[in-house]
Amino acid sequence: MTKASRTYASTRLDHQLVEIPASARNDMRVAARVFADDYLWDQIRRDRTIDQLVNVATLPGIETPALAMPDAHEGYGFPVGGVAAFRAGDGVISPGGVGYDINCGVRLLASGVPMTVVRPHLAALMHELSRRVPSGAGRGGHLSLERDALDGVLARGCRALLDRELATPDDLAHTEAGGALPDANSDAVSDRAKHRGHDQLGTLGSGNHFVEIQQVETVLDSAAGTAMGLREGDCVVLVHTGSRGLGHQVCTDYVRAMDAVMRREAIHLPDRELACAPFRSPEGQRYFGAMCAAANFAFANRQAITHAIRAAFGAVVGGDVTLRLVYDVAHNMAKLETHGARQLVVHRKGATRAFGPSHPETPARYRTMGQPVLIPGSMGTASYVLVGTDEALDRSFGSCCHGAGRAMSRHAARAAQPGQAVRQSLANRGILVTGAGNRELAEEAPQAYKDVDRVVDVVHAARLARKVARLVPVGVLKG
Amino acid sequence: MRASGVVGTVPARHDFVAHTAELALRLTADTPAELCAEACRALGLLVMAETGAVPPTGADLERTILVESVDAEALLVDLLNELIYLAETECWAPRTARAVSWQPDRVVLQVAGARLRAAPSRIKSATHHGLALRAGPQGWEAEVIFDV
Repeated sequence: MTKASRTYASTRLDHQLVEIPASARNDMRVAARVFADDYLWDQIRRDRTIDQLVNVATLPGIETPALAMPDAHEGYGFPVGGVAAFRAGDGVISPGGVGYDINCGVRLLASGVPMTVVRPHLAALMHELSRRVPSGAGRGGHLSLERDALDGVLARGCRALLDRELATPDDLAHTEAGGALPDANSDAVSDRAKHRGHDQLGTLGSGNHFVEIQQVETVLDSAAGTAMGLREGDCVVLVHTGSRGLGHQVCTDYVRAMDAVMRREAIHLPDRELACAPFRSPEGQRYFGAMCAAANFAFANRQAITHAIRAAFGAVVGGDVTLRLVYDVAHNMAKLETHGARQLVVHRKGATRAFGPSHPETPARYRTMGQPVLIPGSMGTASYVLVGTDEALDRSFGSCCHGAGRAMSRHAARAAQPGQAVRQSLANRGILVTGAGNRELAEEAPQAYKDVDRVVDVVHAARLARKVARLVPVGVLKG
Repeated sequence: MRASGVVGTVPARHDFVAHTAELALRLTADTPAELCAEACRALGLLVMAETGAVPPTGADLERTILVESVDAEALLVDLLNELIYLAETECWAPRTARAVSWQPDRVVLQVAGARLRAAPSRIKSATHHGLALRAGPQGWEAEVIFDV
């Protein structure tokens, strides 16, 4: 049994938003808000998500409010599904507020061909994908990088893969930040982190990471769907992974380093995992540089996997299928952003940036509709494509949910249904799963997650993002 | 899952307890030193459950692990992160562990370990979330959350 949060004073502001006032606990600096309908609010309160959100609201330099998305659940330090913005001048940056899988994120590829073209090759395609995209336990992928090459990826992200012909200019144009964060500092990434990551480019990792072959079930916004190349019945590919061991080590290194800074700065926190440093301090800047470098590694990782997926489609389905990148979004990141007159360090931990049509960082192709927002469900349930809104800038620092969000512990999920039963149930629905053992399948079973349709309904109704298309899985390569 | 090591008057033991998204490890032992040794054994079991271990052809590979940190709680987390690093980069995980010395900011352990069949990738890191090392009625206790 997971432990529930304390009960805090709260007010429902509307059907999708609950506020916990800054007076609810005496160390809160700002109010906290949770985007949730009544059902999800009840679900979110069953673990320590709200305690963790209230803890975030105590951090120095936080702008009001601290936020949780409708997919929020208990994490460590910050809740997963949390968004917190800190003033660049007197606020902090927190490695735990980004998480260990720096720039874990999602990208969507549109094939432009109906699923009927791909379906006859599905088993062979999944086999080829599992051969070309290493997943789960096992050291390394097909790209082992020497130190200089790795430093190049850390500094230049996807641009470094352009030189190796593993990316195209169109890919970079449709990746958040062009797939290369300019503040990256590869010198701030430890030798240990580089050692962990040097042969992991192009690998999925474990847990909830995946490559999914999906079918566009419904297009809900035809103009946006057309701009993205999404037609009902078409085959698309969704990729979910991050910065692998390199990013994990960067976070590990800097949580440790921040511990010392907090003593010096006399910052007292309700949870040690919230370890942070003033953004403008040398340590804060050094972490920011290392985090950006790890984020570049993650962008490049998803790009290397994209290259492998294209090769697999070419080998199995044929050369006529061109997998065009619709968009690539991060959901574990701290970014320096301008919001009105304010410079803010926006931490999104298990939350997606959702900029609207008027934002200058929205790619030209989507300038009339907003940045694509990709919301994966769990294997066996739907995923969604949405677009960001200008209202999200005011309501959520331009942020949206990142998935369905776990509702059940891994232990409870294993107890609820054996992995073999999960596999059979998915097979009965025509969903082919490869790459995962029964234990992993049980832990990632659809019922372990919240109802993604309900979660997406909340962000749509709250005007954080607008629905464009609903996707359903056909083939799953699990990490 | 529950397991125990034969040390002290109360057997050191560990449990993996429910957490919505991550993995929580609860440790109990007679002394903080034994708690660290039990943490090694627990981490070893965790990664070997993911990857499997190569059957030993002789004695387990033994190594001395020395970790220094700012205090006893951070020391435990840093020790676990050292073992996660060794598992991922050297495909090695503890099978048995013995504390040679322990101070709140420094621990030395003699650890015999197994070669893993593959590098594990499930455990990303041990975190400081909610961490406390305290003396309770059952001995020394700690709970560590792993990011998985």
